[in-house]
Amino acid sequence: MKLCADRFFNRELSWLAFNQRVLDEALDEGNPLLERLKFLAISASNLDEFYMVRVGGLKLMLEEGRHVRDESGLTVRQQLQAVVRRIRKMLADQSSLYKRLRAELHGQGVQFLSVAALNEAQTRVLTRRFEDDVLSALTPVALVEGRPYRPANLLLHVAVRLAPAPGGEGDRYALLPLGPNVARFMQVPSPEGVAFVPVEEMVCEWVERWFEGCEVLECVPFRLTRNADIELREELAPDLLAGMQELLDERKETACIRLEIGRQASRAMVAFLVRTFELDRGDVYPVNGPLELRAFMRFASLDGFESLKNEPWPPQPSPLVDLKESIFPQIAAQNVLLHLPYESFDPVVKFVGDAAADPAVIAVKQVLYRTASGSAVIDALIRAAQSGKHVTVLIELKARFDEARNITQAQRLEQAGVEVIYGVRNLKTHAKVCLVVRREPQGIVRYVHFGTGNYNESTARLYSDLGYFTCDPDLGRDAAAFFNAVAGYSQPQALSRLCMSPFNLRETLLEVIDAETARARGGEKASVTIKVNTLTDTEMIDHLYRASQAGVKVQLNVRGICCLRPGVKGLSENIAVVSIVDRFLEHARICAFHNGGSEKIYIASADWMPRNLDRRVELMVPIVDKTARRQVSQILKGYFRDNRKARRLLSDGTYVRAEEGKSAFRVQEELYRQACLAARRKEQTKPTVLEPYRPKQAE
Amino acid sequence: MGSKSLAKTEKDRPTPTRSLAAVMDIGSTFIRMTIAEGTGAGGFTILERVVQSVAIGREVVASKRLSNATIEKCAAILRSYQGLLKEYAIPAETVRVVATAAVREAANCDAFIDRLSVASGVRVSVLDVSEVSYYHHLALQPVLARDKKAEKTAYCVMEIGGLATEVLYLVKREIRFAQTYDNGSLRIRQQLQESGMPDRRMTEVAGGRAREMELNLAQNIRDLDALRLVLLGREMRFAASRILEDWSGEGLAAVSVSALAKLVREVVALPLDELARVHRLAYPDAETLGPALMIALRMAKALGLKTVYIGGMSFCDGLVIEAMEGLVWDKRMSRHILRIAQETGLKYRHDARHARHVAQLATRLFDLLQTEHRCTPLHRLILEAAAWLHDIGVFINARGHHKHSMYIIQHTEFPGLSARIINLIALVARYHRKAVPQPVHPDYMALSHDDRLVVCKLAALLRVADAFDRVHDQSLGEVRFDLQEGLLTCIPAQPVDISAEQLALAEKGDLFEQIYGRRCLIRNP
Repeated sequence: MKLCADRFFNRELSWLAFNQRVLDEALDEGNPLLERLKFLAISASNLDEFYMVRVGGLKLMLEEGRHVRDESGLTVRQQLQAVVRRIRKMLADQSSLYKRLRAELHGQGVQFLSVAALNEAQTRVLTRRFEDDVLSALTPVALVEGRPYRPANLLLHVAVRLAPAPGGEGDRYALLPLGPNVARFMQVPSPEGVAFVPVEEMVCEWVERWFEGCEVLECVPFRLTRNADIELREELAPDLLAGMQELLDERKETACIRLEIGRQASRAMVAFLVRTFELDRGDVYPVNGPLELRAFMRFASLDGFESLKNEPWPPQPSPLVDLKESIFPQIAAQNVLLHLPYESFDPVVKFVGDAAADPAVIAVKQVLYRTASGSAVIDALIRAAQSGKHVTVLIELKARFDEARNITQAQRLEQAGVEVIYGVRNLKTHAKVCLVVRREPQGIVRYVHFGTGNYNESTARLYSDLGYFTCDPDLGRDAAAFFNAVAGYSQPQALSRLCMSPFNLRETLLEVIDAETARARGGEKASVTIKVNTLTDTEMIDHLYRASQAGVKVQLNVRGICCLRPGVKGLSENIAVVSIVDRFLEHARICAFHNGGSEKIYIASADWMPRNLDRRVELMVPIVDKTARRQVSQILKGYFRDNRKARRLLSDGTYVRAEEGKSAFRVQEELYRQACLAARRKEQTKPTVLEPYRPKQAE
Repeated sequence: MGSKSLAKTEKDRPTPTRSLAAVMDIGSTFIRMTIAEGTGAGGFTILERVVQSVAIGREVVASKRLSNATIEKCAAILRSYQGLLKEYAIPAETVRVVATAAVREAANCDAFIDRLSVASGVRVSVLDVSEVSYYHHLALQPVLARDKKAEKTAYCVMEIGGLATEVLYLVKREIRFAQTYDNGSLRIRQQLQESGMPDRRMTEVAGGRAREMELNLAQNIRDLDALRLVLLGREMRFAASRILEDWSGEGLAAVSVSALAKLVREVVALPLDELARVHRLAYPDAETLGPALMIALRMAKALGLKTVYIGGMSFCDGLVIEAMEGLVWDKRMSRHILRIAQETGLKYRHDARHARHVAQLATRLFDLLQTEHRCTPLHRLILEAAAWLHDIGVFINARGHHKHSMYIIQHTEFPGLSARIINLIALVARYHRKAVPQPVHPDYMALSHDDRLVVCKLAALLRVADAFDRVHDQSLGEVRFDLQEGLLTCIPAQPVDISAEQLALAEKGDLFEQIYGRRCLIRNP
């Protein structure tokens, strides 16, 4: 059966629809106020990144004269126009929502105040803070022709227009960069709760202090966004580390592509900034409210306002891992599935920590993509190397926006004697795998942890991911072959169980989808259930369409971009797409195939995007263990039962909230309840034995 | 050609370290390292198998030499492998590193080996064709041991390499015939490229090159009804993985010749770039795939087979088994070599009874004089094989047959034995009659001083043993030896006519007397 031409959604607009779903959570009055503020900040932060990379990319394509159409049939210019239109609307929505939230928070004792609104006591405190912390910390920069100044990307600035110098002609301009040495919000005393003044308001209020003797005509906050769609040309960079360092420097000087500026800015001011920073008029975004809304993220954890926040869901201990015992016999006894952040990340840290301390361990190998600052995993790897184990770490220096941190971490690891690999030429290594090689009485045993998310303790509390510990010899052998390939010891070899992109991951997925299609054509029951963050790969989508046409029931849980158009008669009426945006970021990638009743289940590090399937090193792991398979299957099914936070994608590209049925079902809530229940059951089965401390006996 | 003294050969073989062993194999298109762990009872599991492409075969085929760039790349690969060795705490010097046909044929083979030794700290042994065959045989043993029908089945085992094709013919799990043919996938590729022919004409090129193999196999392989063609090598493993849905690489997997033919058609129909892209192959692998599969298909058809068997093992597994078990010249090896010697004797229609009798007498003398000659079990094997083969030259002409024997032995494959050892067997057989070793004999003088001594010590025993059965009737029957100062006496169990043997001893006992300082006599009890 033929596939129609207009079967794909534009990926940029689909992403913006995702960000709208995030913003919708901020609009949702059912969420506590500070959580709403957090969602607003997340949507703003997301938008910043989108602008830098995706809008930046479109602009570059336009500059280079690449008049290609995307899969949805839009030209670059059409995409850019549609995207900018959507962003302007979103920015306006964000600003008006901020005002509403500020008013509501004010009533609850969390106040964001202007200087004019301060009482005398508050003004006194703020004045002191200005004198002590701000005045000397900020240095004005005069904008003079011939002395170019390059504002840092996304850094909040205050632009100042000064009256002409005596005898001079024309206004003068200066900038005050609000760098990291000043706090973004200044706290002032408040009898009703807490009160904060944004630093730019304070700077604007007392701006004359930096320009004694000058007449300040105008003072307005602004922020520039630079194009971040630049990547290292690896063929020209024999030394990746040096190349990445250069790239970071280059990124500071890429073209400015957006100017966000307070709505109150005069035409003269805007024109000056546009001219100075070589922007187009269309790149200017006047903002009616504070700039850099992402900065409000910090208030999500504001102490003392628990009623304005979600009830805490602390990660539960895994019922399968006793943190007091060595983890290796526990994995040998049974494969362990870990569901973050419902369950704690501790077993992962313990896995590496035990490997460092265990004299039977001879080698540890790990891939790191995005790491936490002060990472316990990295500390454990360093300990392992220092205790004489052979430690190999592939730390991906090309991980966008984490380059600088990864360079620092790589250098720390190298200094500790770890064999560090910076990545693989022309590919980003995105696989999440840690291999521990242990010498046991019966021989060498390999313990492996596969994950769908990063080895990052911070995000492990926020991102919903799966991890799988096993000592299955086949998976261990495959993991070793994977590391041999990425470490350059060997050309990639055929793996017995794992699927690895860019080699056979795509092919395996297509094979299993097609097998379901063939079953459906033969009149058998067939289904494909997928959970990914992004679905943009047209080849994968076309195979899903063909499956739908053959009668396969296709259920897709796609958190973010989805270029597949569901529910079109003759094309995709058997495909349902839902997206869930809730308190945890959906991040796990899971695939399930009916397979004639013997369900095939995989977990993976890869999204279904060309970059993941063709230009990244990714892993997909079959879950063969019956218990773990049942667990993953149950988790996956939950996502299609959700009628609280799920939005259903319609064939016109819009998302609608899933209709609430007789009983409300919120999958994240249910998963947390299950995790609590499992932890409680485990606790209940523990024998009640007092464990007395005794003096240590002499040896 | 890398010549190896016996002592060096034995030293080359690693002592198993805590049941871990590593071997590296420098082939024509890749350098491979295998790290294995013993599981007891001779079994092992592969812990690591790493492989990197090199262009050794391609360069040797094109220019007979290895370029400096390739040599340095090989050294870099060997150095990189040491990272993995370090991980398992396997000392680099215990690792067996071998090279095969491509390196052997390179005009600058010695320079290559020396450079690798300096640059990577490993010592490379260049295996002779016979040794490669032996390791193939060894690698197959675990699979054949599990096959209940193996005792009743004849196996033609074939590995098509870049430069050569190794063929083993096994009956009752023992080697009956081994041969290396100058017919490899890279040679076919080169011929295609030189003549500007497209891949679809590979059938003609491969066919032309395979004709000699087909004729030779037809002559040597019997039991066609119970014959299984076993195909080894990377290209064959690729074929199995494409044709069979759940190929695990374990054991021998049956593949229909028609399926193989279909795959060959598909492979040769694709341009190389496309072949590499579609099947995600490294370009060097894509280059050899079509020719190797074509040779295999051709052989299967020539042997009239409908099914072939593909094995996941390689000769490297044989090296691992050897390293695991510390197999050097054990009974299995000796039995194996003697079986080939006996088969060769039959082929040249020798007097098998006489040969057996002489071999028994010679080895008894060897054991009796052990404290004097201080030779090793390998030398005993050389003597025994020479005794079995000393008269095969009669097949050509009785006159000067000792020299014909030498020539035939020098050109016979003994899987597992190096060319040097085969040459020693040939020379010991050569000196079973007529002139004793002399400085005017070029083959003898080409030997090292130590090897010349070995030839003298062993030929002295063989001459005497042969004299004790001068008329080929074993008339002395069971004999006993009396060893005294300056004298060795052979005493038959029963009084018999010993005149012919006495005459023979007078002719042939001279070398024994020179070497062992004893006269040799024969007298009735």
